[in-house]
Amino acid sequence: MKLSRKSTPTTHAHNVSRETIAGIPPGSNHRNSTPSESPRRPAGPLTVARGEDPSHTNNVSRETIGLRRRPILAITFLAALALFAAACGAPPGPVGWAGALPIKVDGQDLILVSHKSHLYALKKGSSIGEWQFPPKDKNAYPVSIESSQKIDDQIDQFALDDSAKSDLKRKVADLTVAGPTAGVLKDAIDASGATEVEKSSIKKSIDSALAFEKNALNKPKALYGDTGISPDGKTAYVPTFRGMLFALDTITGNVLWVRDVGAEMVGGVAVNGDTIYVGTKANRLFAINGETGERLWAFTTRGEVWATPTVDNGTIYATSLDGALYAIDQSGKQKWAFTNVGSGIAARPVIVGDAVYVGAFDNKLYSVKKSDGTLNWSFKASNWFWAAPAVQEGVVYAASLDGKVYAVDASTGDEKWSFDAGDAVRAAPVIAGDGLVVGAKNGSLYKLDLATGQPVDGSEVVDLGHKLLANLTTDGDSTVYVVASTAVLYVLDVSGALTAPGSYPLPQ
Amino acid sequence: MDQLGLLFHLLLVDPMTNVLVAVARVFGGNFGVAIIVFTLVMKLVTWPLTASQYKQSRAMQAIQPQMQELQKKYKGKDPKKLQQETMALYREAGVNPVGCIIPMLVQMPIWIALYQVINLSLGDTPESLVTLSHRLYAIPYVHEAVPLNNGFLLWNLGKSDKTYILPFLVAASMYVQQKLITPAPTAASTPQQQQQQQTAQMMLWMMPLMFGFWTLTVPAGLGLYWAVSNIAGIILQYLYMGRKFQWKSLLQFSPPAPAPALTGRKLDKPRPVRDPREEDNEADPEEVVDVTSPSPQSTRRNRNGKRRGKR
Repeated sequence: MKLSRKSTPTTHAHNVSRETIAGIPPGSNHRNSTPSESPRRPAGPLTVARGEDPSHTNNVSRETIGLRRRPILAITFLAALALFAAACGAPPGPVGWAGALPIKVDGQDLILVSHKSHLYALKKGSSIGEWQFPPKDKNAYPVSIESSQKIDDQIDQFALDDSAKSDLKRKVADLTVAGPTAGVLKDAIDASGATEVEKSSIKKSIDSALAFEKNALNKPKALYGDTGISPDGKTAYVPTFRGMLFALDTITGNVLWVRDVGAEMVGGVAVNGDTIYVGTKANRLFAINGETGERLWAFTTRGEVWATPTVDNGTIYATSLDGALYAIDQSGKQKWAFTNVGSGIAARPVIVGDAVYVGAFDNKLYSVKKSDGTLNWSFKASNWFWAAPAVQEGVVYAASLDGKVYAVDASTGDEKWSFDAGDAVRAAPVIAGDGLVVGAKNGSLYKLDLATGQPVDGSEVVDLGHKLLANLTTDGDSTVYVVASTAVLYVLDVSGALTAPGSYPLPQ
Repeated sequence: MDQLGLLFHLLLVDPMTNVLVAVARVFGGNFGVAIIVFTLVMKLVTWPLTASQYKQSRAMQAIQPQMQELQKKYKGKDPKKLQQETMALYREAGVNPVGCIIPMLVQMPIWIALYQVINLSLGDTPESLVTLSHRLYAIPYVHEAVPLNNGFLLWNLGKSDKTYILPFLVAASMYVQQKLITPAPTAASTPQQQQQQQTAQMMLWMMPLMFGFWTLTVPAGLGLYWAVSNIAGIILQYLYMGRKFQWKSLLQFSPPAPAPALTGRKLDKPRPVRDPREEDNEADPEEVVDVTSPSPQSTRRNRNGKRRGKR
């Protein structure tokens, strides 16, 4: 048995000498290593390198290379892993696709243009910016009207004479979201005759207001939803993908109030008198007082709400990725829900006459009775419907992500014509200048004849050359506004045939 | 590069997306379950690779006694010979100390693809959904499966894990798995061995740390894949190794110090944890016997062990 123990290694030794492993010549051998010194040496290439015989150095270097091969392998592997990490990169962030919105306020024509995370107010027909949001200079950006009002109210409670109060209030009026104004105000409060309790409580509210608003203004992330406009045109409601809902003064661009709705908003704001409605990714539809920002009620859906709700005759129609179309009354109670949909709905419902028209992710366009939510008809395309349809004179014009625009009979659901736009259509088409203006994802714009579905005679295909996902908008006449992935507002005159658009670069 | 990316999408990302979406739909739209199922299937597909890895690990364990024999025999007398014989022993046993890397390399395209699949199908941005609409095949079952539920237990699978649970789970499970598959460090006597062991030890720490770190940044879905993959690996290894599975080896944290002078008997120091219950284990007792007296019996068992390893 002892023999066998010895024999095993010996056999290996023979194999080894024949095969010459790790670059060591078979004959080489460390004569210097004596039993007495070897064990004391730290093992490793260094030990061998001390060998006195010059021929060893050669062996050693080869040996070292052989030995290092494994760490090199490991390092290569780690490098490959690093490459993997680099290949993954950062996940694509939200960009935003809110379009342009023409508004009239105090006799002035403004175009509110959303691009990525910014909103610009342009004078009609120019690149001149009235204001932009969020502002470039936060130090000069006043704190919201609501917050300064609250601070003013607190000052009113102080046991001070009126002139001292109005002194303080003047400083509140100068209060900006960032910068030194808060310090100035606090110093003035300290110097005033208010009690210590009053001082500390008002300073607390100043700090919390500033902290909240500064945070709200930081990185709005992206704007997707349609901006809502109050009936008098003076307030714009801006939903951000970061979950902050801003009410802006359309003349100055200052914040009236801001609310954290708790989740991202993809859909826009619907306005009905004093009340505004907006859905969030946290399966909620909120009704909010447009004046005060106070929440009136919240309606819970089973899925994320991605579309702007539509208000018709006091009833709110909202869609959700849970695949339902909800009709909700003004108190927030569900009237009915149309759930006979194979997939989610991210399109805004459109109401004309007695029917609600809505497209869904099950490739179908639905017509549903407005009164009770029963199905009139459905029409099938070959990819999702995302854009809100346009309806006119008994025909529903709906664009699908399959790249086609369909004209469907509003009463029967029969197809009248279809037009291939060459790429997916996410942007809602509009009817303007007696034609249907369609924008495909690849940036191609068409003006189609409503009756035939063919490009209007003499029209050229306008190729913006940029990704186009934002809804097209019109001033109700023959002007169409288009925002693509670049910081440019395109203005199309569609009174006749489609021609090259006017382009207005957004202020930077 | 663009063409390559297109091909990568066509051949890997798109099919994976559709399969995962379909599986998710089977499980009520739960993408987390889909990822777990996918992980287990992947584990099954790569089983031949994994098995060879385990074989190596077992072979490595099996030749430990012989290595010690070699050390005892040549230590301090003929280091060159010792090194050669060690190499030969490795070769004969089919052991490659960095062999565990290969199954990982094979999986790497899958990771990248999965990363893209997750961004595509669970992407938090509306834009990603527009892209997804063109990636899903025109099969109603798949095409209508959106939106997908990106929530799974505590996590939003489309976003990086902010709870730190997954990174920890990935790192810990990977450490355990690596530790189990890496042969227990022996008292290295040759530079070769030392290098190998250093590399192995480096990988043992580096890999879990790197993966744990990545899990912080990549979508939680990929972290879930790694965690499940590692845990499944540990279980498979347990089943494969049977009673040779050494939980205790997990407790050995540092590589042993270089062999002290003329202490052949103490070579087994790095394996001080000896469970009495393991005494009847075929692989273990021989090492115990080895330490006390290099009896002929142990050698016979060694060779048995080795043969089993190569099977």
